[in-house]
This record gives sequence, C-alpha cells and structure tokens, in this order.
Amino acid sequence: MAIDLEKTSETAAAETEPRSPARRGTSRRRRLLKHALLIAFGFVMLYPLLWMLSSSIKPSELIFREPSLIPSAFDFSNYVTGWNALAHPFHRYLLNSGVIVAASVIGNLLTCSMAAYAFARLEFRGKKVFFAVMLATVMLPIHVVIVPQYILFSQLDWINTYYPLIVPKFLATDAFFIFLMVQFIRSLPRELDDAARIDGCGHLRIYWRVIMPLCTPALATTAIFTFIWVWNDFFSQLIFITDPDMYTVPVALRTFVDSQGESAWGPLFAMSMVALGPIFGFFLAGQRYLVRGIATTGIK
Amino acid sequence: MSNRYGNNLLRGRTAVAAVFVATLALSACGGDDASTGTEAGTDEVTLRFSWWGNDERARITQEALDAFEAEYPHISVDTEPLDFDGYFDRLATSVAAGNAPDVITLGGAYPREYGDRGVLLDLSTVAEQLPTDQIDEAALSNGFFSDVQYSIPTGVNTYAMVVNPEVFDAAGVPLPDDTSWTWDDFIDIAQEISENTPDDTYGAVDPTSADVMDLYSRQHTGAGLYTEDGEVAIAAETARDWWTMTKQMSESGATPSASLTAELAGQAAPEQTLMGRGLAGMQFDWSNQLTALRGASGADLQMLRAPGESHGVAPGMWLQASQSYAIYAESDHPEEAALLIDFLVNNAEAAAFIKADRGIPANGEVLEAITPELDEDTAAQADFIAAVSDEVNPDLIIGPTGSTETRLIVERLNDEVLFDRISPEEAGERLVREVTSAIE
Amino acid sequence: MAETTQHADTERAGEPGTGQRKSPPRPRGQLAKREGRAAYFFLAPWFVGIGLITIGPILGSLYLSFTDYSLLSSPEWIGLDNFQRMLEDERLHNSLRVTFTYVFVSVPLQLALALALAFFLDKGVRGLSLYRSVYYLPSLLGSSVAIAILWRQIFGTEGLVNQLLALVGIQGQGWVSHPDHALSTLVVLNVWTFGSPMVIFLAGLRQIPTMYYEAADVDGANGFTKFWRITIPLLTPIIFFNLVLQIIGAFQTFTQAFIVSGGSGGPADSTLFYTLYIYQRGFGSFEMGYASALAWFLLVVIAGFTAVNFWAAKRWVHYGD
Repeated sequence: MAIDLEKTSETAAAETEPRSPARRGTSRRRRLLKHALLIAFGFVMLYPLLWMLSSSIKPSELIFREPSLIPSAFDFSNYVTGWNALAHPFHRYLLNSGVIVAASVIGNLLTCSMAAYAFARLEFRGKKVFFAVMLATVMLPIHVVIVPQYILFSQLDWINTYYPLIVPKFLATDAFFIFLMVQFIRSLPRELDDAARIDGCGHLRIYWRVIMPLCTPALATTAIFTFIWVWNDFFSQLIFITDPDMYTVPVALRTFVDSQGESAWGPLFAMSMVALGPIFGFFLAGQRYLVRGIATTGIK
Repeated sequence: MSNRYGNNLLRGRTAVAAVFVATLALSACGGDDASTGTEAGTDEVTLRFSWWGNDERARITQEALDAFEAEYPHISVDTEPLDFDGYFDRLATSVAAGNAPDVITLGGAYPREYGDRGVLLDLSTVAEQLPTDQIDEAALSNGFFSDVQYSIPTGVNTYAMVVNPEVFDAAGVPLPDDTSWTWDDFIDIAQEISENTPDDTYGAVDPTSADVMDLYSRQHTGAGLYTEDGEVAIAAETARDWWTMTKQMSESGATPSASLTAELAGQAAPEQTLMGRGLAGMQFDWSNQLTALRGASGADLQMLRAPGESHGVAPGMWLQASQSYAIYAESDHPEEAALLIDFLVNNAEAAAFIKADRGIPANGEVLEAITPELDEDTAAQADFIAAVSDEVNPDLIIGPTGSTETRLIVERLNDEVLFDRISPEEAGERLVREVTSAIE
Repeated sequence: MAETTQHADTERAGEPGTGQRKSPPRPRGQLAKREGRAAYFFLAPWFVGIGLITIGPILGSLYLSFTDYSLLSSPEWIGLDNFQRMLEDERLHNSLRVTFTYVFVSVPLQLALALALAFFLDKGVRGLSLYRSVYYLPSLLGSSVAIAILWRQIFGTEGLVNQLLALVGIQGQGWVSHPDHALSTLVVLNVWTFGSPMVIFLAGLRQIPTMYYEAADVDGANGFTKFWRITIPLLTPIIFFNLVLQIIGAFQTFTQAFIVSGGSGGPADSTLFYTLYIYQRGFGSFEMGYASALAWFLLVVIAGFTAVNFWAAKRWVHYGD
C-alpha cells in the first residue's frame, strides 16, 4: 500500500483538485492575485534586509540623515573597512562562530533526538516526572540561572573556552528540541516501529533506522534553529568568552557600536550583512530537508 | 543560619555548584586556560585588563599596551574589550564568580558601587607603583570615597551645553554669552530657534537627565542629587520646578514632543541624536562626545557653560572622570596591575597613543606633552575644560551604592511628565521616593 | 501528560488499515525491564546535563531568592522578604500587565499567521521555497543591533509607517515611543517573526502521510473537509507544540523589548516586560536575590499555564501512537 507514495511536494495537493475548463480563467486570475499578495507580503518581510543592505553601502554619516532605501551616494568601502576594522580580519570571527555552531548542531541533533525517542516511545519509571522536569527547564529565564551557571563553569575552569557553549548541547540541555521531536515522533504511526520490532529490531535500530529517517523534517528544523540561535546568541557568548581572539560574530559586531562615542555604522551594517550569509545559506540548504517527510522517504 | 550558607556563595563556591563539581571528573574536562594568570611568585605575570569601547579604541589601546610590555618584559597583558552595554553584565557576573580581571575600567558611580562592596583594591597599598601626585585633585576625588582611593581617572570630562552655530545662524539668533546666561535665556533662545527653523529642527533637545538634575539642584540649593553620607539631597520642589519648565518647553515647541523625546532616549549613539543629525540648536552632553557629534553633524559645534551657572547659590557644573581604572581586590598581581595603570595614566609614551580617547588626561604633565598633537576637535574639548576648571563646583559627591539606577528613574518619570500622565509635582515627589528606595 | 488518549477522530479522518485504537499491549516483566534500560540509555546525556548544568543553577537561584544578594558581596538570608516585597512592587505589577497583554495578543496572532502561510505555501505554490525563505528572513535577523535601529526607521516619528500615512494625508505619531502604542509595535515585531512556527508547521504538514489524503480522495472528500478532517487533527501535536512553546517564549520575551527600548522598558514603562524587569533588578541595580525571586515566580506562572495547556490538550490533541 505504501509503495507508490512518491510525490513531489509542489504538486501534492494541486494535482488532486479537479478542474473544469470553464474555471480555468478564474483560476489563473486567482493564481495571479495569490502571487501578487505573496509578493507584496514578501516585500514587507524583506524590508529590513533591504534597509540593511542599503545602509551598508551608504557613507556612514548618511545612514541616519537619509532614511530612503535608495542611497544618494554609494560607499562600498564599508565592506573592506568592516572586514579589517577589528583586531583580526572578520573571517576569524566567522570561523569561531562556525566551530561553536557546528558542534552545537551535531550535539543537539544527536542527544535531543535520543532523549525524545525515549520520551515518545519507551516506558520507564519516572517518565512523567522527568518529562515535566524537562519542560520546566524551558521555562526559567536565562538571566537568573546565568550567574550560578557562570560560577559552575568558572569552577570547572571553563571560562574563556568554548566548553560552556558546546558541552551543554551534547547533554541535551536545549529542551525545546526534545519537546519538538517528542511531538513529531508521537505523531508517527506506531505500527511502523511495531513492524520493525516484530522483525527483531532492538530499540537502537528502531531509533536509528526507522524513527530518525522519518523525522527528517524535525531534524532539519532542529538543525536550522540551532544554527540560527547559536549563531545569533549574544548573551552567553559575551559572558563566557573574554579573549578577543576567540570572539564570535555577534560579540565582534557589537564592537562596531559604541554608545559612548563614535560608532562605525557603515561597517557594522556591512558586516551584519556578511554575518547573515552563513545562516541564510544554511537555511536555504536545510529547508530542502524540511519537505522530505513521510511522503518522499517512503515507508518500505 | 544565614551566614553559614551566605558566605559560601561569594568567590564561586556555591554549595550547589561544589557538590556537582565534586562529582565531576574535572581533570578530563579542564580547558586551555590562558587567562587566569600565572602563579604568584613566578617571574612571568599575565594581567587581565577589561575595558569598553569601539574598534578604534582597541587599536590605540593595544599600541599603548605593546609599549608597556616592552618596558616591563616580564608582564604581559590580555585585554578583554567589550561594548559598553554588555560590559557591566559580564563584569558583575565575573565578580560574582570571583573571576574578575585584574585591571577593571569603571565609570560614573560604578567605582563606588563596586568599591563599597569590597570588590576593589585600596590603591594606597600600591602607592609606590602608582603615584597620584600629578593627577588633578578634582578628578581624583571621583574615585575617592569612604576614605579610600578606589580608582584613578583616565581623563576628565564635563557635562555642558553643546550648541550648533549653524542652526543659530539659520534662525537668526546670536549665540548667548555663556558666562552670564540664565535658564530663562535658555528657554527664550530655544523657543526662538524652533520658531525660525523648519518643523523638524528644534531650539533644544529635551534637557532632562540625571546629570542635569544634579547640576540644576546644585545651582539652586547648593546640594546635588546626593548627600555626602549617601542620602538623597535633591528636594522634591527642585525637581518639580525643573519639570514644570521642561514640560512648558515641550508644549511650546521649544523642545521636541514627548513622543520624539521618548524615541531619542532609547537611542544613545551620538549619530542618532538630533544634535548629531544637525536638527537641534542646543543639547546637554558630555564634553568627550564633541568629536563624535561634530563628525556626525558635519557642523562646527561648540561647547557652552550650562545656563544659570553665575546666578545660582553655587556652581552646578563639575569635572568628572570620564572613565577610571581600578584593581580587583582579589587580584594575584596587584603590584603589576598598579604598574599598568601607572603607565596608562602617568606616562607620556602611553598617552602618545591614547591621547584624549578616554577623556582629557588628568595628569598635568601628560596633558602638556600631548597637547600639540591633539586634533582640532579634541583641542576644543581641552580648551573648554581648561576654561571652566577653575569655576566648577569642587564638592563632587559620588552617588552611593544603588545610584546607578537613578538614570533610569529620571528617564521614566520624564516620560510620565511629558506624556501628561503625572504632574511635575508628583514627579518630584516620586523622584525623591524612588531614588531613596534605590540607594537604601 | 505522556499518555494522551487516542481519539476516534483520527480514524474517521481516514486512517487506513489497522483500525487499531489502542497502543500495543504494554510489555511486561523481562521486556519492560529491557525497555526501561533502553530508555535510560537514550536519556543518559540528558540526565548528565540536567544534573550538572541545569538543576544546580536552578537550585542555586532558588536559594538566592531567599537572600539579599548584590552579586558583588555575599548573599544574606532574608527569608521571605523578597516575596513580600513583590506584593507591593508597583512596577512589578505593571510589568505583569504588560507581559500578559503581550502573551494573549501576540501568540494567537503569530500562530494564526504562521499556520495560514504554512498551509498556503504547502499547497503547491510555484516558487514555494523562495517565498518560504523570504518569509523566514526576519527571524534570521534575531536580536541584532540592526533590528533596534530598523524598528525606529519603521515606527519612529519620521518612520516608514508615518511616511505612508502622510501619503494619504494622515499625520502620524511616534508609534514606538508613545506609551499607548509602544507595546503594539512589539506585538507587530513578534508577529513579524512568524518564520519559526511557520517552519515547524511546514515540517509537520510534510509528515502527514499522503496515504490519508489518498484515502480521502477515494471517498470523494473536498479540500475543506480534508483540511478539517485530516490536516488539522494530524497537525494538532505540532499546533500544540507551537502553542506551548510560543506562550513560554512570549512570557520570556526579553531581547526585543531590551533592544527596542534600550533596556529601559520605556516609554513610561509601557514595554517593561517581566524579564526585562528581572534583568533591571538583577544586573541594573544589583539585586540578584530579588531578581531570583521574581524569576521563580515567573517559573511558577509559566508552569501553571503550561499545565493548563497540557490538561486541555487531552481534549484536542491527537497522536498517531
């Protein structure tokens, strides 16, 4: 029954709608209208990016004096200046962020999905309590745990290393993603793993061979969000890293702004555009997997 | 029972943390710890030095530190620069964990906030390495309280009126004589400029800030915001008079609407202010902002004394350390830290790099040495400070612990008044009440 | 919560094949033991993490909530004083009002928009991935400095909104800086970053086995019926997830308010979110003890809401297991 489920995402629903020739004209007009709306809406969504782009190619002093999107004067040197303005060329900070982000993504994908599998599919003592504890950890505001956490990491001599940023990800402390994957796994029909169990698969194999492949959209979501959130996370990177050689992109970006003196706005926006590159690229690459649900992986 | 648990938390030994630390295989996880310094007794010393600022400051600071390391080959310095907004979060957190840098940059009321809580070293213990006899007394008093010298000023600053002569010209209003002008003159001039310029240009930016309240109160009563022993000194009536005046100015159009003022309060950078955009005739600001404001506005901005200076019971203006250096009380290397501060504030070689970036040097000899090298904007600041330094109020009172919140209290009450939610009278009373409760 | 009842709706919606309504019988004895061991294996990293990195600091902050702690000197035990103080703290009460308003307005708006667009985009729109990327962009900008500045460019006195209003002859005002409107602009800011829940919805829509739709087609169901009978019921776990997390997230909103108001919660405390107030107390005025007490109260409030959510979920969330 599941053999011919192959279907591309774009056509899934459209194909099935019966259409009579008489309705074709209206439907084209409706389609145009739909796209016009989507594009208009898209412009609202894009406005911040366009504004940033425009500001990044304006001379700094024009940024606040001239609000228009189209610059009256161009200054592309913001990119060169910004890249070289700090103690290291900007790629140093991109690399630092990249290391933390890559490790965080791997850590979250692995450990959060493991925990989620246990919560969603296995029975064990204390499950309800642990689940509640897991949720509770999403709820406490970071600004209050940050001080005890700092003290803990400081005792471990982890200040000014990447450990405080990476190790927690390998210990499934981002409960958000555990909860996300629990919800995904629970929405999968259970007969899938029952079938595997009857075939003699252990839990490790069911987790790895059955559940993980079916969870591609959830895993992609986790990877994308982890990437973006860690890449943009300012507070913990600020608190735990003190050596400017180890600064990450968001911390480095802040040094362009000085509320007490002169700020390099042009270079700031130029480097903000650069900093957007990796996350947008990752989102573009990752979103392909968002659409690989049950429909295309197939249930074999 | 309180103290048994209480004392544990400082220096990072929370009972909780300790339990978990003990259960963890520490050795396996220890990181590459480059920063916490070498052991006492060895020759090689690494100092941690934290400060806030932009990339330009980072560059010149590094040049000065290179010179320092050349002079003291056994000391190396790790800098920990950050932007201003994040700086104090990290500092407070690292102090709580007993992991603060050796040399700490502070500003405003922070030296007292930290010093009175035992975080900073009494600098008289390192007077040998860090002599202060060349440093301006008034500036030095910024770091002196509870009978202890806790910090050394990096430079001097004063709070005064920045004016844009181009806006005055466009409105056909002559610049006032700042040795004799009054608050009424200020109101009239602001009004006249607003009337004679386009709608988006204002005679003055809303002048309310904690610093101006301090100044205004000193002019009117001889006492600023706080008393010597850490109480509130400003009277509710003084604050009421102030807000009565500024509210009228806002309503008459001499200063911007409540909404624009609130909007400007949220964005501190000089480039975003009305003065920085060439849209205001007058704006209170710190003298060290002059360069940034000139750059942003493209106009030849000038500094004037505050209105009412020559008419009050006492001068309201004062000299303030733009920033100051302090040493962490738990530092393993207080003497080397003192040498570093000494080099930064007392050495002409360091000043040749830093110049007036952290305020006009408070050390007279150093200032003299660098004066010929100052650029035009900085020279204008130095001249202004030199001109007013004999007139300013010498009785500077540093805000007590908790007073760093006053800035926000004033800002909030100002919104309430300008948006007509409370009367100037009530605002005055609430100011006294809320500041009192903040510094208790 | 973990065991939510199965619902007949799922089957009516066309679940083919098994017709099974109960989970397979619980494994007993030897099997149960093995399953338990497996569970602890899968949870091992989480146990270590929760024990070392989470519970310790949380208990630490619980302890601090009974102390007077300036961050700079040792905490002193003061019993319930912090909690007593909360009763009389007017700024706190104001911040609760601000936060609750925000939660109840922005979460439904954001989720509705996210779900609508996810559904819209999932239905074979040409250029789907392009639209999806564009709509996700605001969420990428995160809490960068640029957002704060930009927000004033849009909602400031001379901002984009007022320029557009001026075109039709309406004299606008400073939205972001007026005490009556500042909170609304933050709601807009939040709704505008609907990209995250949208992506989660999209992923959820993808996971609905197409066999359900095919079965419905065989039965001759129309698009509307399929939406209400298949899509929505099968998406309920994801809707539930987004709802729970967005509510928690909205209660914890910090960065947006922080950057837009420059940390003050102004004008006139109109955007003083609860967490912003915690931050001001803890880091601004060195009252970490009081801030911890505030945080614990917030934890209790959120936990209460979440519990109600889970309780209500039994009535409307359908799981496939």
